[in-house]
Amino acid sequence: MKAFSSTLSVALALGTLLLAGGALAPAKAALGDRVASVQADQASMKGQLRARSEPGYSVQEITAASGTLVREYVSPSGMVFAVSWSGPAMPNLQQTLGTYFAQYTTSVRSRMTARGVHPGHNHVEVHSPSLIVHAGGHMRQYFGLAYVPALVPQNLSISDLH
Amino acid sequence: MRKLIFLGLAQALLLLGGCGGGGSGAVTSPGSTTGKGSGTGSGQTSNVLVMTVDGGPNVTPTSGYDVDTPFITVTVCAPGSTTNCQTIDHVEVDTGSYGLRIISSVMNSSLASALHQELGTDGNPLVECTQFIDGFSWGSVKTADVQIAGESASGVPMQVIGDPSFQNEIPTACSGTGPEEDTVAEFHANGILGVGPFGDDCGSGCASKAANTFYYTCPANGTGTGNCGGVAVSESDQVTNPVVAFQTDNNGVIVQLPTIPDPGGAATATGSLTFGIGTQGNNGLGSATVLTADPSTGDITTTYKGTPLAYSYFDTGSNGYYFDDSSIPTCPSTGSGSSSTWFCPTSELSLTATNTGRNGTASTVNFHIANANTLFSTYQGHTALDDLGASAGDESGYCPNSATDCSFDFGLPFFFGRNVYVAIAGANTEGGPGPYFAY
Repeated sequence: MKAFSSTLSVALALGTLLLAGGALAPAKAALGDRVASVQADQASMKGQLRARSEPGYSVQEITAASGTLVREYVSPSGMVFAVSWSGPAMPNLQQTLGTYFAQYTTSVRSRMTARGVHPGHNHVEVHSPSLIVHAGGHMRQYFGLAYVPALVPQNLSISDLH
Repeated sequence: MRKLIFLGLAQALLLLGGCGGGGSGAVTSPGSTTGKGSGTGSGQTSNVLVMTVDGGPNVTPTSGYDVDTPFITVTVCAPGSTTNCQTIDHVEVDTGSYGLRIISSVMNSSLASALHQELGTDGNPLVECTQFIDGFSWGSVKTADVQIAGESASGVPMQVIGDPSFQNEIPTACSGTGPEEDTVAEFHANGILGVGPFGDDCGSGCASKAANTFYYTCPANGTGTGNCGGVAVSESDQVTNPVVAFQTDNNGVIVQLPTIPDPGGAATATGSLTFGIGTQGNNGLGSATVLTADPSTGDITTTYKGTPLAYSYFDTGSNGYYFDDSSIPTCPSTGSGSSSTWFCPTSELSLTATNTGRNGTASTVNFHIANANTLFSTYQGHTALDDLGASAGDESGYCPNSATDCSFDFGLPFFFGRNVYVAIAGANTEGGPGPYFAY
């Protein structure tokens, strides 16, 4: 449903690193993990993996079998500092948020009762010092972004990611 | 995609006897000045249902309450039965989803056991992982006869959320999409009626791909997360927007809510959900502006402060305006560690956005954003608020295509004081084919 960016370039030297690390990588998710975990995500999503390089970071793009595009943003030191998604289904956030998934679900649940006012079903905003998540959309069109502020490379603005 | 299912005579006669729809003094007739036909003459199907904005089901002093959430009452019957029926209140009206879903625990055992289980191609029961933005709902797909206002649809695929026969085998690919919302306490409603601009919930993707992550087949009463397998499901067997299965008035809906006081809104509000567009004397388009929507997503483009946002939408299932504007302060933290994303301007803001359909038609919208903490404290208990908004973040990296492709979510506050028409994809209306929104 969604087109790839025209700046996309397939296959970086990074691919070698992925293959080397993949055999040892635990089958868990990406945010906050080393880049090697991206391959576990790819396998889990039965997806196609592409990579591209941008000034100050690189991007692993996985198109899941559901059609949803998941982007994992990797710092120069090899850490996944942000993930985003868009497409016709939610991604497996347990996979892509990794160790942050528990914090995510706890935050969403707590805001459901915060101030006695329940939020609606169709938007999520999590703002904490260690995790930021924006998620929106509706059936047939889901999108979102999660990142760990402490892992964002210096001199890089989240709003510049693409 | 659309299904036309004819009523049995006995059922049609029952409907003429009336079941719960119709009049409220607070409801105005959309477009009545230009409507066609004789309006309320005998023989017309009652197509108007009272819709209420209130705190939701089972509100207690300690339970919290819903804000800006509209509810209706629906009647669900066993297929072919006019007696094994249950009337269920506090079903949320959602223009951001498609199809009827009821929480299993609110259904009586007589009805629950008589709904027809859909089967997958392997003969096992069909079960769905419905993905909302804030969590998932897991449960079986069954067919039911559905009565809403005077409208009726037979054999409609719906979801039984939290069906106990499948609760011990939720796949990790489903539970991994977010928090579970399988009880009334988690869902904050007894069910949800998706009346957005599509006839079924997932569309062609789920019809062609087994790994669609929505539909699974599972053995009943199994245990273990590996029991279920992904399955492709034809659009006619997917959970279906009941509107397209009505005998008449099946091309869309009109969501109507009254103007409410400013500041502070109202404790509750009463409006209407009307079925059909230009099919009766009470549902004509009148002077409403038609904004055609993206045929695959149902989205329109909103231009806010000079930025076009191509994935914007009108969603009664969102309880505020959600958009990006870093010039509006968000509310201070309440001490839980997570800061609030509700907007908290020092005084009420008057803002403007321009909505443009895929047909190029543009419409300017004026709206207000008030201080959410004031709304929640000074006006504590008010559930109808037309000036509630929240930040959707100032980062654009997640936008589907580029930095300028993102969204403005017109949640329920937008619907107060308006008649909003939702035309279903593929349906013909006096305003042209759906999908479109008009107001």
